[in-house]
Amino acid sequence: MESLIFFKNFFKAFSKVRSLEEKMLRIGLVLATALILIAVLAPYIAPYNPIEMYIGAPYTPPCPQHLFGTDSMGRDVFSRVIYGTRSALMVAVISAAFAFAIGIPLGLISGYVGGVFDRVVTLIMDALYAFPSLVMALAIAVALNPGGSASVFSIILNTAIAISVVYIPSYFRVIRATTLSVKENLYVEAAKAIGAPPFKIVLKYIAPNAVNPAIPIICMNFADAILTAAGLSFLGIGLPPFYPDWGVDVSKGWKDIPNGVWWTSFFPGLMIFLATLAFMLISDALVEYLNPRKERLRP
Amino acid sequence: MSVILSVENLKKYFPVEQTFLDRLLGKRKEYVKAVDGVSFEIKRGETLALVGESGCGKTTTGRLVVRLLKPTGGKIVFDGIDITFTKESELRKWFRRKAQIIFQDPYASLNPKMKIGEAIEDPLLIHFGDKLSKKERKEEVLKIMSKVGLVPPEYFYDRYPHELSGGQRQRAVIARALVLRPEFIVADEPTSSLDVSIRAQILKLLQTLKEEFKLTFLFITHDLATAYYIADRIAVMYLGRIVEVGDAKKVILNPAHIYTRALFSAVPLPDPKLNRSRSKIKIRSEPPNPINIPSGCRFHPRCPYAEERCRRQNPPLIKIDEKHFTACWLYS
Amino acid sequence: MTLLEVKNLKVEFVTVSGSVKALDGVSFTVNRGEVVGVVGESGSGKTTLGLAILKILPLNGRIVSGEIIFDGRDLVKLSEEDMTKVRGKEISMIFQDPMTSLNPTMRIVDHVAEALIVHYRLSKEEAQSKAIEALTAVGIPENRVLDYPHQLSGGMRQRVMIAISYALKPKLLIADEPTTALDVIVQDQILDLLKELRNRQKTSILFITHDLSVVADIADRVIIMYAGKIMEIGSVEQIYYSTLHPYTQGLLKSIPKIGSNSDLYTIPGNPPDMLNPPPGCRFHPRCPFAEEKCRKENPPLVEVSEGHYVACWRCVK
Repeated sequence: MESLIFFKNFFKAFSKVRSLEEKMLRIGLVLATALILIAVLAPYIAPYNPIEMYIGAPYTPPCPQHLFGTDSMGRDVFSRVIYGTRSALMVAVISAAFAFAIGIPLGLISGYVGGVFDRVVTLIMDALYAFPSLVMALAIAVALNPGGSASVFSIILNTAIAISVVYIPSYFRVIRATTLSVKENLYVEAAKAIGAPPFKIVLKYIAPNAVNPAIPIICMNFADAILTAAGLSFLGIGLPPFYPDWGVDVSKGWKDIPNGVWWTSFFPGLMIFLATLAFMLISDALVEYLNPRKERLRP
Repeated sequence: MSVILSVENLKKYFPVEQTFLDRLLGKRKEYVKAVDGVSFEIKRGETLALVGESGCGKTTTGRLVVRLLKPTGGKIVFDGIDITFTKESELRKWFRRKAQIIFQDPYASLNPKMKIGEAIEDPLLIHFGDKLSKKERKEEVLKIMSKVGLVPPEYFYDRYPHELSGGQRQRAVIARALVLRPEFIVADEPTSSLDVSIRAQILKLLQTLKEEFKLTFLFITHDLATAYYIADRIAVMYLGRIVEVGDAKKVILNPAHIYTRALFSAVPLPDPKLNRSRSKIKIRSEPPNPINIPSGCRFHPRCPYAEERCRRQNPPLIKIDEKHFTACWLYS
Repeated sequence: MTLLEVKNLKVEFVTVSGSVKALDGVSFTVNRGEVVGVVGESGSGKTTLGLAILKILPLNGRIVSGEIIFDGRDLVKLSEEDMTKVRGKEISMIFQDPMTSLNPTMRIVDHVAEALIVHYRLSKEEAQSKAIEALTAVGIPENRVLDYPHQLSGGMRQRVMIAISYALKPKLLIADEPTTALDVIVQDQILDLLKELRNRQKTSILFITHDLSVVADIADRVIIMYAGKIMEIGSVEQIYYSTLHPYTQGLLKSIPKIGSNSDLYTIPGNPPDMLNPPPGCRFHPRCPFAEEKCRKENPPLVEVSEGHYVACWRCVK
């Protein structure tokens, strides 16, 4: 009952000041949830096997049998787009997980320890940060898969790692900055006074209070990962041509546009746009939302 | 009574951040002399109040004696062992169990992401994690929570700091400091950020706990009345030095140093008639910057009785009687 | 003569967890040239009171009902445009942290001059010379008037704020904890300055604080607030020597006193949660004399002797 009143008041308080960031957050969340559902339920949503050729006549325009039409090999574009969500989200999740797992501890340690260690790590991170992300990802992807003969999953993994390397500095910088301010708190001094060793201070007292600002970055990382993965596939060093992937499909399909066949590249392109938009919106809204300086309805 | 803490000529200088331009121009590195030659002793079971205005170095002194800061010079001897420059890893082995600190701001001294019970349990986990079982630790935590007045302890055990009022948080902070059964506690303005009606509760609680756990306190405060209430002895600090020290009654009722007297007459009393009738020593200026400390007696630029000697020579602590000392040439 | 009369003022805040009645029917008067101390703990509504009089409540707060009669006009009914003319010129306010009201990129003399130009349409030169006059009058040396706020100490900054009031000659100055962040010697200086301002310009001062000792030093009359309500009003003598309300008595007995060896009294419990204030008398859960009636009915504020008002069932005959 009490929680019911809380929620009632919560919505009452917020319905009065429905802000822009709140609308952004809602749109983003709806889109992102839809994407995740599509990825999980792909076999049930897609009407055809995405890699089976000549399901329909090549270059069939959108029609009731083939909602998004078919491509040069007669594959169903709609099914390919649906299945493509899987590889896109996989790259996004894996890259974010990697970048998170490396960038955050590094930021925490660097911020807490300070001194020469901090300076060296910050310098390396700044250098990484300054590098154009696609070029960097390109170099790493080529380095990890020189022959271009790896399995599909290892290609996805390589792409994800390449993108995560680019993203580590983003996590690092934010976490290092908040660590610097969090470690000035009295409770950190109190932890030292009760005899907590440094690793415990970082783990129990600083980390839980410093990771919040990294959450918007995860979403930005997601968005960028989808875009970069598509870019890599587009350049031909991502996934193999038969594999259902938005980047692959755009790169194959855009050559057809002069012949009036717009659907083979438009729909996967639209998905890239929507997926990127979803996570960008969430990220932007969260930045506003988690901004501690903004007073939120306190007496 | 044996001496638990003795401090000799303690110094702490903080370097002033230099800008790149300053360094380029070869400007001399400047220091804030927060603590500049402080000496005192605390006997076991005693409460020494360190009184002074902001910037006088009282808080820095408190952090130095529990070694949250590294001294620039001097000597700190705790329980017969010199801890002045002891490494943190060594301090963790025994000192952190015996000496604790309570901060002014109970809102900032608790980790917002830790439940009250966890926060109080953490010292036990750190020092006796392998000796005490989880159940034993929880029992110990609940016991100390009821001792500090967080009752019922089972209720407060699972609360987060933001669910507690300022007074309750300060009780939790006290519990965390006491759970290891320390011998010595630095209380840095533990009541000044609390509501008036809560201050008395916390002051009385500290008194009771002192008796029960046989504690020794270094009580830092800017409030003379609080110092008078809680302390056996009072040391008055001004610009990094102790200017007067002695029996609480003597220092408060017969202040010797001109600064102490001025401080005294500036304190408003909760009594309108007394406020109007008492005579005052008024100081018109504000304390000087601790980067450029005046020569001679540090107080001389503000002292209405300053003489030539005060400008040149720094007065040592001069004995007024057995239990009362002051650093003022007027008493030589 | 009455300058300000607040009648049955109610202020409410909407928060995520519910609405808070920060002020729940507050009535009092301030006479010309009088210093009235408002004493209360956190959550008592004392700060809200100052903000409500100037109508500068935060966005989620609003005046629900009541009147604020200032110099013959009801400020509650005044338009925002007319209020801007009242603020500063007729009622000015100083805060605990002067930095929040000072522009860090403006020299202090310009702060005072700017206020004079806005409210009195003085020429720049005139305003400058009057500003310097005001700053020196509050004890800022002439060689410091071109300083920026960050170059000054806390006490000096508070002097700048007072100088603005000094120059604008408002009829009422609302001082919200103006000395809480200052050391005692500087606090003493600021209190002297405020007394001087009152004596010279006959400015009325509403002095909001948690500190009963400061109020004993500066105020002519005192208002004791608790949980959005007034508990007791009286002259300083009445409040300190013939204290009637159990809350005021408790407060006075719980401050350590120099030279007194008697044990401290403690008011049990904690200040109330303003989201769910106790029914009846707000103080009853912490009151040693609480009876059945106190738990149910809220006591009215009644005059027990001339100028001495108390809201306690023990004083209602």
